[in-house]
Amino acid sequence: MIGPSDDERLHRALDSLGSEDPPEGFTDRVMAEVASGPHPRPAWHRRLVSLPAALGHQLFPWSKHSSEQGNSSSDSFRRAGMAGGGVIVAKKVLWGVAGLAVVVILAVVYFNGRTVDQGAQGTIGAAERYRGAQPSSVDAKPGNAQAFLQSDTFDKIVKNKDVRGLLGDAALCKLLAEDAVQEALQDQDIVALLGSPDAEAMLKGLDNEALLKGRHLAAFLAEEQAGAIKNKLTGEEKAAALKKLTDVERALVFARLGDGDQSAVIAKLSEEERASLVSKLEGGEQVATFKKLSGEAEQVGVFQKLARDQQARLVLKLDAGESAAFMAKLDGADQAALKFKLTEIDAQVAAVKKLAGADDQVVAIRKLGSEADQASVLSKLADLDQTAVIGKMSGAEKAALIVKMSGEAQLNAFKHVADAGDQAAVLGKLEPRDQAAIITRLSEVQAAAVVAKLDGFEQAMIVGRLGGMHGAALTARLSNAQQVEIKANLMRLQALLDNAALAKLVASDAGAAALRSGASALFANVQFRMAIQDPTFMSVAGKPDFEAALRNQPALQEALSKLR
Amino acid sequence: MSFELGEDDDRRVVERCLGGDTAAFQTLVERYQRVLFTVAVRMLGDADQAADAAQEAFVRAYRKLQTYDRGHKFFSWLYRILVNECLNVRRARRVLEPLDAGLAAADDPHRGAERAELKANVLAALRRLSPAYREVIVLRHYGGLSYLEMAEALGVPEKTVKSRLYSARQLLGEDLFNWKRES
Repeated sequence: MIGPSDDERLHRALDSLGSEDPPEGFTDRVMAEVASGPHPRPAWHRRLVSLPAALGHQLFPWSKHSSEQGNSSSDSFRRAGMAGGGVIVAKKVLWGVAGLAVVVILAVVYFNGRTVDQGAQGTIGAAERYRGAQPSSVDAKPGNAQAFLQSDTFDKIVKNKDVRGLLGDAALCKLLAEDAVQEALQDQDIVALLGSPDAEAMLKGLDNEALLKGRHLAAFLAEEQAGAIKNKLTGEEKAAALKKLTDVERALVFARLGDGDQSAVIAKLSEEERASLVSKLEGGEQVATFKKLSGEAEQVGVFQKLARDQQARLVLKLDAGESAAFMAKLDGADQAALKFKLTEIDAQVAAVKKLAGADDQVVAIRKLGSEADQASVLSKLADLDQTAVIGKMSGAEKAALIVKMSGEAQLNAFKHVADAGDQAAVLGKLEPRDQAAIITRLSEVQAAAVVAKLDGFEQAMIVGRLGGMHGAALTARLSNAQQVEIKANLMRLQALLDNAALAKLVASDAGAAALRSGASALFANVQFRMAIQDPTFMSVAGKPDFEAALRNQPALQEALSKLR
Repeated sequence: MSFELGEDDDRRVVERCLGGDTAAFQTLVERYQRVLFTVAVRMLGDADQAADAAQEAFVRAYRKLQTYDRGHKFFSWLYRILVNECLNVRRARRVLEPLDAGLAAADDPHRGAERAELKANVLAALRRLSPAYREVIVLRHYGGLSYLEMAEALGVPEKTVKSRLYSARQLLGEDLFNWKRES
């Protein structure tokens, strides 16, 4: 019978080979090759490329010959260009498209009463582009950006002053062209919501809410979604709502639920979903969630689905008695591998401790494979060493490591961060549970000094979550001006959380995705609000050719300048 | 967990690459190069071929980024590409892997004779394993993948991974330490 000690021996033997460093300059070589070759295209590009194939056959019957050589339109075009006789076919297609462009432009110019001179310049420009540029499958197809810019629909759109203003703003165009926004604009419920008077309060809220920018948006949306999930849903419905989210989003929302809701959700998840959730959570939230799993079998099942690093990370966060009891439940091989990993971390700690200066210690810690390993080693250093090492790290670096710790180790490391501003930056990145644990265990003076360094939105979120006596005591330690600001921010935050239209938007998958993509700035824009009331604009808003036109900014701006 | 969904998250980096930010890919290369290279070396036994395979895996991953299913872990997907790349290399060379030749360069001359002997024995034992068994040992031990991630990377059910891993460990134990075969 093979026992745990045999397994451990095998692991030690395998580990004797160690890990290998890639040859010098490896990253540079990869990046050079990556930069020199074709670049990946997002999904919208694939849609754009495949869309015009059928249309192309109707408009250009002679292209049938070339398309028979390949399955896709892009293949056929490329192959036509490479084969001897195919060159003629490709040229025919190019000149066919250029000819069509001339006809379209002339028609648009004629019907809109513009001078022939202006139109002719545009036509020549368009024809030159088709002839001069490297022929690509996109350029050669009708339905692309150029074709759209020359279409009657585009002409109608730009006749609307507000929409023209919107399209003239490159930053808004960029937002408008984002996949998530385009998908949201294809969702009739969202379009109706954005165009309805009910949305006005929401849009105003977003417009005035400078807080809802960048990283705060994710936290706000998670808060909003957690609020919606808490509301009168059964455990099954809560779990279903969470399952709709991506792994990262799910963890963000889950961390903002109360203990009761968390347990209800966990009970309805499969073993794999539980493991995925546990692996995405950080700090004390990870341990707390793991402990919520009912029964040994459930914990062992989830544990076995974690990667070895994650397993070690979790065991290190349990207290000594818990981790020994838990490890005893694992089978021989897993137990041995885990013990080996833990021994490895101990060896790393010993090696770092042996180094004389903080500079060397920081370098050694940075060389460890994962942030989790780095955090484990850092948390095991003596206080003086830890202070010195943390002092040598950048703000982002120390925050990334402290986020991965939990309990006493996390609090200890947090206290070793010298500056209140840096402490605030770390605090802002922690899970809500860890934030509360740290704030409530600092003295009121220390806590207030840190919270005072946070921005308005973060202050409101933390004070709002602490609530009751803790929240009030903390606020009382701040300056009068900060107290007033916190109160105002709490009210604004509450108003946003209570906003029915916003809740509806966040509750829909497409709406939440659009907001996450940064579309709050777009939704809050006055011109966009006007534009979404315009039926012509809305009729093309989610169309691929419009999307292509938005992404082809130089061509769009050129076309707009001709119309001005 | 950070409020920021941004820089630390592989999927966000992928989004940035797909948005045209080629330089963002360097984050992923730096994050995974060591483990990918180690896995490739263990699978192929030749440092040069391993470097080529790892490089090709990164380049292929970049060019196919749009096909990456964001419902799965990025590194599982990357490993799958690497495993395929290693299989291609192995098929192409059609000879027995000179496992120790490529790794000799990585040896530390100052290590003790005992350690060197153990290392040589382990390398030889790994070489004697069939590719399917070697893969699971390498991915589990040197890649640190969970059973599920290994299943995804190798394109086989989780059960198969577990049974292969069990058999592979058993064979290694028999080979290295004369474990007795369990009936």
